[in-house]
Amino acid sequence: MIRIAAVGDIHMGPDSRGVLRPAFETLHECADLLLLAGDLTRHGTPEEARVVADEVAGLPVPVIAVLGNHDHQDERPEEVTAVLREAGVTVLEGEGTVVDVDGTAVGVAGTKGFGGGFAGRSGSEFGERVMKDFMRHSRHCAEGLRTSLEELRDQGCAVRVALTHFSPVPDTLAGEPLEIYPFLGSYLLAEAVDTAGADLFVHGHAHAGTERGLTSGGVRVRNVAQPVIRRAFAVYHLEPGADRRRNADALAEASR
Amino acid sequence: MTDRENRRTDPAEGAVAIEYRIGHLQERLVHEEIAEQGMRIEARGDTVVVTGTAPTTECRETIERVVREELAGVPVRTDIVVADSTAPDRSEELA
Repeated sequence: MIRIAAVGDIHMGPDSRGVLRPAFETLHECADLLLLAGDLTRHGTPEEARVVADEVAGLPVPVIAVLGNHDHQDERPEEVTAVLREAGVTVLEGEGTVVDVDGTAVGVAGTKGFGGGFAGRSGSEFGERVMKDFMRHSRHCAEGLRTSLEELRDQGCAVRVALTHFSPVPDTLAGEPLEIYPFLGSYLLAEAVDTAGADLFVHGHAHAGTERGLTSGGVRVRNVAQPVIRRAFAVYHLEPGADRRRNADALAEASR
Repeated sequence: MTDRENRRTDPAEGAVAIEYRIGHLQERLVHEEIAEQGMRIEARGDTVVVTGTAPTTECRETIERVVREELAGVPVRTDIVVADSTAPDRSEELA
């Protein structure tokens, strides 16, 4: 069994130094890795990133992160990434990483993701340049997620997890105003994960949303924004190979 | 009474003014030192209700101060909780 701890939207600043550390120091008792689902800072400054870095430095489990929109606010995402990496955090954007958990290869594919909306109610790459840029960025993030999940599959990972900041499904946005759904996620992320396959999809961003959702292809989605999970992190238990078994069951069902 | 004050006493005009003031409050919360985007700010009758989760007690105090400043003269109710940073006491089996 693989134990995955995850939290997003911790929005750390100077006044939150040390707030999460006591809980993170219990991670070795309950988890094999910690995923951070973006919006780790408030303005995306290196100073705020240092607060996050100190909070997770030297933890007994690997820490894997994606950035969120707040981590881009100061337009220095490379510096934020560098500060986190110096503290030992693996920061993903359109790429994957493999963690060995007692001989089981666990792959995590990560991207910030972006908005655009959900199938049938989505923006298009059409019209003004800024609108095309908006939707192209969303598509680019989703393509990075798909290709990195496929690479993790080819590397023989027994468990694969997709990690983003923006949401792949509207399910986990329930509680947010409908009018802002296109700013909260994109169906392109769900399509990417349903194409490449995964055991779990973890995201943040939707503070007023709900924890649980499902893609059309049957991938479990969990919104781990801290205001949603209402604790320092959530823990999910996964059995290696469950994704392949579900796919086999679905194929058998479809062929009846 | 000036024309401006006259406009504000008109019930229909007043409702519009609150709507814009909520918009301005939302913009200010994003651009203040806390960069807050997660508050729900809604007009209910002549009262504005602000709900959400703040990362720290200090952030909550800042939000409440900005709300008071930006909506001066408007009845406001706030229900802002501080994020819970305790370790979880359970896990979810996804197998």
